[in-house]
Amino acid sequence: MEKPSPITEEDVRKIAALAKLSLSSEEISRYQSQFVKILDSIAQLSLLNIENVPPTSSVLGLKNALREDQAIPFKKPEALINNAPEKDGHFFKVPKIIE
Amino acid sequence: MKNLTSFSASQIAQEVSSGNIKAEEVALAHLERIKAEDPKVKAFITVLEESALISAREVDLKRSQGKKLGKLAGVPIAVKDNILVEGVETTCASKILKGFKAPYDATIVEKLKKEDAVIIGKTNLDEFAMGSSNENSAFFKTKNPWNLDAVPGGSSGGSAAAVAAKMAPLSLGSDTGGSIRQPASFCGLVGLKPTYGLVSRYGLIAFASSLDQIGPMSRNVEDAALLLSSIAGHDLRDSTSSPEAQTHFSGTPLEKLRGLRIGMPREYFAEGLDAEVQKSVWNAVNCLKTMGAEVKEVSLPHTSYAVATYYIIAPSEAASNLARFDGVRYGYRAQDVKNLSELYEKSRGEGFGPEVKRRIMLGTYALSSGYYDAYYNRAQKARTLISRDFENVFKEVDFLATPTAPSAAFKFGEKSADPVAMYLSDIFTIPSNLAGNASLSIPCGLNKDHLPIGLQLIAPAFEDEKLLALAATIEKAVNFPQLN
Repeated sequence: MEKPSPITEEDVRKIAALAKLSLSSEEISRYQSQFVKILDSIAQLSLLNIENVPPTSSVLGLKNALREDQAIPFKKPEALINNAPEKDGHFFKVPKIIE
Repeated sequence: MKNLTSFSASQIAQEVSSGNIKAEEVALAHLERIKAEDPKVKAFITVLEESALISAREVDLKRSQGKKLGKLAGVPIAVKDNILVEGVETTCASKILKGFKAPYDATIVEKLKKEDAVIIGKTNLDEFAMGSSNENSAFFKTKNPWNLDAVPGGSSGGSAAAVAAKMAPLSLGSDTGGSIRQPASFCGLVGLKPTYGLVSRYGLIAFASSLDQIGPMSRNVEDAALLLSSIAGHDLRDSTSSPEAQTHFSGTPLEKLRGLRIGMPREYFAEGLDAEVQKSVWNAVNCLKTMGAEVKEVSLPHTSYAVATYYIIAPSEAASNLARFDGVRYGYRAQDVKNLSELYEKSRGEGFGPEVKRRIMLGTYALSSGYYDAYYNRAQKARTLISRDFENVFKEVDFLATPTAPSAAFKFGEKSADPVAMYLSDIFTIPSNLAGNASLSIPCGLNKDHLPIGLQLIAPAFEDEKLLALAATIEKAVNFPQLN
């Protein structure tokens, strides 16, 4: 594995955008320096010989769990809508999304 | 007056079922204790005074009507605040979920209620269960009842402190990389991370789904077995719950240890391990040897890769799981936003704390285009190697005995400035989450500062009953003190 070049503040900004997190410039610079350290400690995985090793896809080899596709009515829909930060009757209210 | 807060859960259930004491008395005694102790310890985010008394009275009524009571009759239980209890605020110790009222019960909470338990409160944690000291709670820091200057461990620090300070005889924690076992070790408790799939995760707010497992924390092994018997079992609502899940656990000490093989993995006794921890662990293992067990050194050669593997896999799963907190359907919503994208970014940026954001970013990076193979895929391959280490070693021995954590409880602020140093406090607990096997911490001694030391026992997957039995045997031999 090629060692990726050290992470920059620009990289951190890009990741934050992908993760939908607004960060202050102070946070960006703190995360940048911490990421260099964290990724450095993670980089030891490149020492492992993993060529013929399959990746783990299920913890204890569980098979797909299938069941009948039956709808089970939820007893208290109002308990769901009551948690909304903004609502209009039985609808979640959000800012306008079509310009 | 009976000292009800010193009763074990098994004693309470027995006495309440036979009518010797009332569930209401038990609840009142523990609520009193919370009033006296919690201002110092700060284990609880929410104390359910009213509803605890109501459910205790219901248990007493049920008994007076001649109905048979459940396994946990009148037993007060503290529940980690990342597990849903219907109608009760469930925060994950995060600003982003402040005020969120759970619309339904987690499967295990349904089960507790069916067994006539009394849910006494919701306990503090590192935000979204990400941390090893409780310092990452967005609300306040829980203290270690053994020494208020020391951390209780994390992330289930509130659940640990509540039981150690006798504000409840039992609590539920969740363990993603050691979050039950490490605080149990720091607070002198029994803490079990059951085999992955033994306990339903439905209603546990997900952090890293392939690693998370709910388990009991208690002051003795029998109580841990009692709680596990009440919560284990297959659940159709959790597709990773195992159809083979057992539901009866007794935690009865083993009669003889002859023929039992215990492995001490040399990688867990390497440099950096506190000398007093090492000594205590050896003392406990020597007890087993005296009782006839065969003890031998073994090797789990990929141990040193576990923390790095975990810090790719867990944040990757977290980045995905925590995408649901978007300020739309529940939780915190930022004000004065111009469009939907800003609503997401600002709500998440303002609602999540520093460690949660750090891990979301780390996971997003590990999964992002161009880095997936170098990080996530490589980590999942390393995970296979770590699991194979356990498979191989369990051909040679029945159990592994290791320290739970490299040290006893550390002081507040000691590691909080350095994420990597904090991550290393889970170095011995993480491998069991990666491999999915059963693992528990049991107190094995006190250090010179009078802080508890934990012994970790690891068993193959689905050997939880044998693991509890071995722990009970050690418990009898070690005779660990309780706090007053």
